[in-house]
Amino acid sequence: MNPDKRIKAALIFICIMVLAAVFAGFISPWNPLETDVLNKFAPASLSHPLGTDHLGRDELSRLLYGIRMSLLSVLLISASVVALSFAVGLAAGYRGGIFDAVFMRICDVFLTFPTFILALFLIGILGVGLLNVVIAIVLTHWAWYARMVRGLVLEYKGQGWVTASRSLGTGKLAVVIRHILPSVFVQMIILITLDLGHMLLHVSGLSFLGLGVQAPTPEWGVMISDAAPFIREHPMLIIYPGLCIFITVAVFNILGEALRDKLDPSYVYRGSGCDGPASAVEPEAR
Amino acid sequence: MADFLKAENLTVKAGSKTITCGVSVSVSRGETAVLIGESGCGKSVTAAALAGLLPSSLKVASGVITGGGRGKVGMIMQNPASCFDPVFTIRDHFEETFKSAGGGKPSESFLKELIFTVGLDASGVLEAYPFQLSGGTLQRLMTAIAIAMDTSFIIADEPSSDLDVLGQKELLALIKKVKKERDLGILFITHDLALASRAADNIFVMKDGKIIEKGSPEIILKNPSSEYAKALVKANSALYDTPWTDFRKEAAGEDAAGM
Repeated sequence: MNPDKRIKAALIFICIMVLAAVFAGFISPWNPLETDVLNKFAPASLSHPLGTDHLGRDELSRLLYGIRMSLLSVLLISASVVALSFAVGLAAGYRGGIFDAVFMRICDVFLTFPTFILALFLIGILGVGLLNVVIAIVLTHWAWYARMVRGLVLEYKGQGWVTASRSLGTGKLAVVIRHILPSVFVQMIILITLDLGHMLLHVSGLSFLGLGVQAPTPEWGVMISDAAPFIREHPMLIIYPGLCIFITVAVFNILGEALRDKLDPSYVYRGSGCDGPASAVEPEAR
Repeated sequence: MADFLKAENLTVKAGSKTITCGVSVSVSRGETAVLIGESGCGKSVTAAALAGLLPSSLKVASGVITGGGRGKVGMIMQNPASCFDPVFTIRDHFEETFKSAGGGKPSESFLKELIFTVGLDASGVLEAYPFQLSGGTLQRLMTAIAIAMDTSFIIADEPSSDLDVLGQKELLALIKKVKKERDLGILFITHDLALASRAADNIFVMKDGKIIEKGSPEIILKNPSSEYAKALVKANSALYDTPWTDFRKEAAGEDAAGM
């Protein structure tokens, strides 16, 4: 499918998710925390479209409220990772020298440990809770992104257009802001979009283990964890939040891949063709 | 504005390694000087030093540069496709040029006139991104940007090496035209003696980081004194009608035929 169409479709889906998260209070048929043990494991009905869980809480309402936690955590993680990795990667790549050596050795320390183990270790120190999960995931991801930013800055710093801009007399900061940052940002947008699904899985995984969002707060990972003991009798209680995670991760991946296809200039034909945008004016014609 | 673009006894070093050694080149307004030499002899380093664009790994160890520096010399570079920022339109590049020169936003008519000067139709290129344009068109636009800087000198660092023969001919004619119209001094960096002989008022021959010979094209082409210049002239004249010969070894005094 055309990248533009894929981007549109993915953005429409994400917009619907955002709207559902923002207006969860209006569109949810029930309070997601309200228990009704006499009505536990109720099948799907008009009153409870997706049934109820082991405490009689409405499954659909919990899924809708769960979007808030999932989107909020992914947004927080990606924004923090971008900010931290850009600050470190730009300084290390553009300044070089001692900045580069020190920052990259710090990155190496973080990259030495497996991501999930390091996240577990940090949560062990910081304690459980969504904010601590966010901090742990940021601390386990930023180093890889900082290395990517540094690599891209080193690549773009040596490009002809940067030299050409410097030859005009453009200042160092202006060169970085105008010619290096936008190109790096485009690449990073693609990378981080492709990684959003992975981050969501991290949050859900840690919440499933009881280290992230705590019950009874509705979150997809927590919902799977809550429903795990009843997987044989009531598999839909796991399938619903599992499907939500699967579809969201797939949409983020589709968006990332479509952005990569759209923004990679190597797909574009360079020649002017038969009726290209530019052609030399013949001297006789002038 | 300076009347000369000059490097005197320029020595550039990369750490302890000497890249150019006591290089002296000069070009005055209205003149075309050609700096010729084999690949890796230090031509582009000399050009970068004159334009104030030496990378941080290279330092000017000694020597004096007059009339050069960032924003004071227009540059036409080797690979036009890599010299335009892919996320900027051509209009953005022109606006940056004027902004860096301390001017305001250029008027539409001025931009059109400038682009027409280099033989292009502004309506087709201003809103285009670099990757939508051909190498020849981009090279013309780079010439327009160099002119837009309103400097007295342009350094053209192997500007035609990425172009086909027709493109080379057109670019040379264009540079000659703008030089004449604007009384510019042009410093051509090349390893193409045929181009040097057609364009130059003065030729500087460079080898192993040193200027080994300089003079008018008549002197260099008809009566070269250094072995390297002799080999260069011989190679140029024999390029299309003799079998392969190792001219470098001949220049070094070795008998290539006996190898």
